[in-house]
Amino acid sequence: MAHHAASAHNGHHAEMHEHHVMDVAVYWKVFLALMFFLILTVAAAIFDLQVIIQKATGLNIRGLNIMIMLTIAVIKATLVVMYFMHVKDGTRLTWIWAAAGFVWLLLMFAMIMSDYIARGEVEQAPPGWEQIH
Amino acid sequence: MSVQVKQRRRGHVEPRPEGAVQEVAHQFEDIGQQNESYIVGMWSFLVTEIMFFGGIFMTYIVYRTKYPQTFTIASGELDWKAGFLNTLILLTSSLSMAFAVRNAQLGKRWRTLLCLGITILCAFGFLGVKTVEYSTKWAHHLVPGPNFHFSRHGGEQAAPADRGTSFVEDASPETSGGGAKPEGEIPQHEAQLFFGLYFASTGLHGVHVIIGIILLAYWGGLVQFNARAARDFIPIEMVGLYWHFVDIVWIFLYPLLYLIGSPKL
Repeated sequence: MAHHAASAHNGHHAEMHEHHVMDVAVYWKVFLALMFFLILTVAAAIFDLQVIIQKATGLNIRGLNIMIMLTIAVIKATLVVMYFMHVKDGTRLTWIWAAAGFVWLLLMFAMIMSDYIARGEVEQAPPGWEQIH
Repeated sequence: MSVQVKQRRRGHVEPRPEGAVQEVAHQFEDIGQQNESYIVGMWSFLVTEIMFFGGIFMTYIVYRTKYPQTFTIASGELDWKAGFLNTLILLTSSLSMAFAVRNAQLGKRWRTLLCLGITILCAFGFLGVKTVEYSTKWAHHLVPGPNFHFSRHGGEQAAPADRGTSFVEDASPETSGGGAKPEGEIPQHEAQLFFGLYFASTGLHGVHVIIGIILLAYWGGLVQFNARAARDFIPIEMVGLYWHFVDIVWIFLYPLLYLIGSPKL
């Protein structure tokens, strides 16, 4: 019984111990993906997708460019956290800690911005202001 | 029990004789628990760092939603190509940092040193580009303070004589409200806010890069002299975690500061 429990314990830890030396190829692939997303970010900034989509479909999606750029930034950050910071092969406790900061940050953004918006302190830009530059 | 602990220790130090030697400190059960403690400890520090930078990001969100127009125009004065170069440099430094950790895991000291050296070089490259950018902003009167004067194309023209009070006059309701503004009538206090955020966030980030260089150089030195602490790869892994975090901050700063002003190729 005691032996059994100990060996199960052992097995669990053995998985943890293998500090997973990642393949060199994995790091290079992640780096190339980061480069690709960097170029994509700049492309999303240079081409005014909001105007392009409005001309094509008549749909006016305000702040489309920054939404795309921030989505890409989140993907890039996830790649860095998972592969470069080894959270992918980390223990569950590491996962919780790695997520905690970002979750609390999002909570802070959401709560404070909902307060600002509810007070009407967020100025709504007049239609067409994007065209002035 | 003590026999089992011994077995576990032995089982995980020996399978990779060519790899990094990890000693289990007496307060830990085994090497797995020890490694996890270090990594989680470092992550809990990074959580405080996330909240630290989070305050600046929060301020940015509040004022960008309040003055979207000015932020867009002011962002156009930043050199997105310099920012691009810096992002490229930082991502490269993250790659070499990851390789430094990998080589430390395998116990390859000289390769670890080489990778740490490349990371430090990248960090200096980043600071170099940043220095050029800061001095340009200084020359263009874009550093917040009594000499701040924002003009559309940031040219070399001197600020007007009454620059000390101009931003107060510009804050009149007609100009700070909505509506398309003609050139040169950007409220100075709003533009100053953008550049204040720019210098606060990139400055704080730059301080982190400098601290990173010190950490990298210190641990590189310990690896060089084969110090006992640097025979374990975990300290290098922790420096790596810090360095990648600094990279992540920049990944978000770059689009938010440099790319919201519709950059042109």
